[in-house]
Amino acid sequence: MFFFAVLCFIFCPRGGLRAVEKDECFECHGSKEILQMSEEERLELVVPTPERKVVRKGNITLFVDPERFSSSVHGELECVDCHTEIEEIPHPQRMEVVDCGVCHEEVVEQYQGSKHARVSERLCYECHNPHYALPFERMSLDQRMGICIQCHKDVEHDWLPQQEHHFKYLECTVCHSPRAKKAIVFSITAEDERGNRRPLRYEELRPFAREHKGQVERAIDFNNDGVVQVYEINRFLSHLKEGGLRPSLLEQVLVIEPYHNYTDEVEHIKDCTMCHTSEAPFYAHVMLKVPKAEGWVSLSMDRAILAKIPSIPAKDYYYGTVHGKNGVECIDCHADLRVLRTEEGFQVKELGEPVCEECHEDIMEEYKNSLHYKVSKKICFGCHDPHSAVPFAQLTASERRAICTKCHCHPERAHDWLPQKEIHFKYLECTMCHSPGAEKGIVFYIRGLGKKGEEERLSNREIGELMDVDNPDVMAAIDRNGDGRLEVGECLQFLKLLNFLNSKRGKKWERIDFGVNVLVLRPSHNYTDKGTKAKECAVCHSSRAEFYSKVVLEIPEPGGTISTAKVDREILVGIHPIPVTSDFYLLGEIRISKKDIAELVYVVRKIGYKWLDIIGVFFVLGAVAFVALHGFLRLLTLRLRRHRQSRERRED
Amino acid sequence: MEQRPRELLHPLWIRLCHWVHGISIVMLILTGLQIRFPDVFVIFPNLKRAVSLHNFFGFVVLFTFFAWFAYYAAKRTLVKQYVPSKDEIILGMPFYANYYFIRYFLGDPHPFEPTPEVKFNPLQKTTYFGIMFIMVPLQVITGLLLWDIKTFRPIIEAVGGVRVVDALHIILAYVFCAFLLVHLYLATLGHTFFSHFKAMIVGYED
Repeated sequence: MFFFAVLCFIFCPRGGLRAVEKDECFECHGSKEILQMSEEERLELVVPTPERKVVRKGNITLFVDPERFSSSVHGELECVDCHTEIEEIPHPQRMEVVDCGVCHEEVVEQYQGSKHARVSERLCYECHNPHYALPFERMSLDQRMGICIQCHKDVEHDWLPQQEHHFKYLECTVCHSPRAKKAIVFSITAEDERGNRRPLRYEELRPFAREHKGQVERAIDFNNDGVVQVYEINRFLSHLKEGGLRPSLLEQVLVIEPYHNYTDEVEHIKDCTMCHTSEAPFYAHVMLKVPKAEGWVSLSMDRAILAKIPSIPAKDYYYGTVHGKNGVECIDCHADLRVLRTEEGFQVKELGEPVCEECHEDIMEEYKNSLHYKVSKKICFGCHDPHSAVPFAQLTASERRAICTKCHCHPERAHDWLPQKEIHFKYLECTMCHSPGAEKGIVFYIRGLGKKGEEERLSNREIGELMDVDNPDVMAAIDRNGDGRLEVGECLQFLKLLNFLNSKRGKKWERIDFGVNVLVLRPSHNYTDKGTKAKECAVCHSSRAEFYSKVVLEIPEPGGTISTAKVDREILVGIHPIPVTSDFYLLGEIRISKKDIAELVYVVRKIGYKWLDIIGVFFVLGAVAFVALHGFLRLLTLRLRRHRQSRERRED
Repeated sequence: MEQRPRELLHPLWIRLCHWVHGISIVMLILTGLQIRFPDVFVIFPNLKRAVSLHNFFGFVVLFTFFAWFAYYAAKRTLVKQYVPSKDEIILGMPFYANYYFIRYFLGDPHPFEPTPEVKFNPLQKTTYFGIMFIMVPLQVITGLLLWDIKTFRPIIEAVGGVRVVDALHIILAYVFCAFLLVHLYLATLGHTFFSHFKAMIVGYED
């Protein structure tokens, strides 16, 4: 049956008649002559059907440029795939409207319910020329806007602030199609001599991806995690700069999936907050457009990049960053922004260098005397991103290391002497060794462990949910005796409570315990390269290592900030009922002292006559173990013994 | 296989002593547990009852000990049966330990055949020597001292106080518990599972 159907399809398509080929159509429609013919001349070429209605044709002419058609989105199709009424040549003079809904069912459905369809009664091809239509993602901004501007020539947007700027960077449907899927798309551009910015082509970028076989996207995302981090793109841009280009990122809000229901939510369009908040829908998709040998590829980008683009004013995002949280306004650093706030109108100006030392005076002084500054001449934001979303205290070891590896790309190469290199690299930041003056400590944090062992730091809100209070005072909950110091017993009691509440409230986590890191608590900006201390293991691997004197627990505070409280060092070496630190061991952390022996004697004495029962129980258990083991082996060897005995009996 | 002569291994007197002693030891362990941990083990109606039972069975043990001692003393076989020689300790014990822990499982026949004259192999001999000549007397003596502290005060003070006497008594009690378990288990290692038990009841082994 199926075979027959296939045969029918091959040999008798379109009602059993021979299919009309594209080339045959282009014999007439592929030449501009058809436009110069008179009505009568043309009528001679078709089967006259004067009784039928004339349909609107929009901008479509009888001439179809074969070359443009073949490069259009429909280029692979045959003419008769859409013009289904044509079964032979000559074809009827007047025909029905082509039904786009055969393929674009969903789009036609969206459109038919729209105000645009009701009011204008426009048909698909009156906006989109199906013979020359490009794939949506390949259309330039002008081409996209051109679709609307065909009719909406003199649109008035007087209410719209920064009109010119909006029109320059946005397509109509960003606002007028509220349900379209939007994204913020970055492209790598460079400035030419005249100061014009243009996107860089693949050929221009390829030399910078030599190490990655010309794959620019791999050269950018060098850690190959599929997401372009801020430092990754910065590194690539600095390579471009070294190569003599003047690169920058150009951001654009684009529709990545159109929705054909326009203007029905017209009142919402005038709401600026549709775009100008960090909740704007396009912030959900942050992408980087990277050219390839043919076409381009879109990579996901770290949202942190958003804090760096002042041209889309979404200040609430900035307020989530470390400076934003501390009440630092844009103009506090970028003093020259005041100029932009005058009545001169909106214009993007080159920003002056921010002045970090106005606030971070002591750090600057320390740094300016350091070898790092003298050799590299890097200033603050050469390493640090002032718009970074996360405060230093909350960065993980690997995130902190990333600050250094922006320039010191292959740290592993220079550390072959280091035993257990991978472990050191996984858990430690560079400055643990390379910044001898930094204050180091052992930092515990409260974490929830998932089913597969994945960990999540518990925020104040999550602890509050467990304890069923808003904004809980976590410190007070742990430090029962209120002495400001966390004893081991208090910590364990709190963990026990959290685990109990967790199992009572739906068991979101498998277990709640303490995670632990050795971290720099207060950095020192005086770095050594191969400093005298850097290769000395005993700086850390000794019970006298500095960080043992600063054992702290991170206490999540309401509003997402963190405070720290001292914890008894005992928590590290003690064996606890809840395994707090069983997965954390630093070689050399234990050194038995006279005090330990004295303590042991004290404990032995304290148990005193109870030892009798402890030893006694061991006696009895020993006897039970003997009986059990001997009995088990006896059972196990029963057959062997019987076999041997019966054989010997036979021999006797 | 050669028919072994049916010899009386355990005379009636010894069998009687053994079972009275055995029952007493079990009772002493049970009452002792309640005396040591009165709030954990409530086996007998009250502590007072447990103490008086403990005292009673303590004396029973004392008398059976003398009865046992008197029997062997009269027969003049006490030393021969119970006191291990130097060779037995140095060579015999490792040999029998090796048998119980390794060769037994390979199905080797028991290298020792008990006779009325030599009832114990060196391992047993040494163990029973320790039990009957050191531990039981010590336990009985410490028990007696604790039974009437007032009367025996000078002796108690001479050895270091009630605590010390009690400590010794307790630790020995645990050893007896452990011994009892092992003793019962090893008794099943006869020709058949119950042959040693049977011998201790009827006097003859199969």
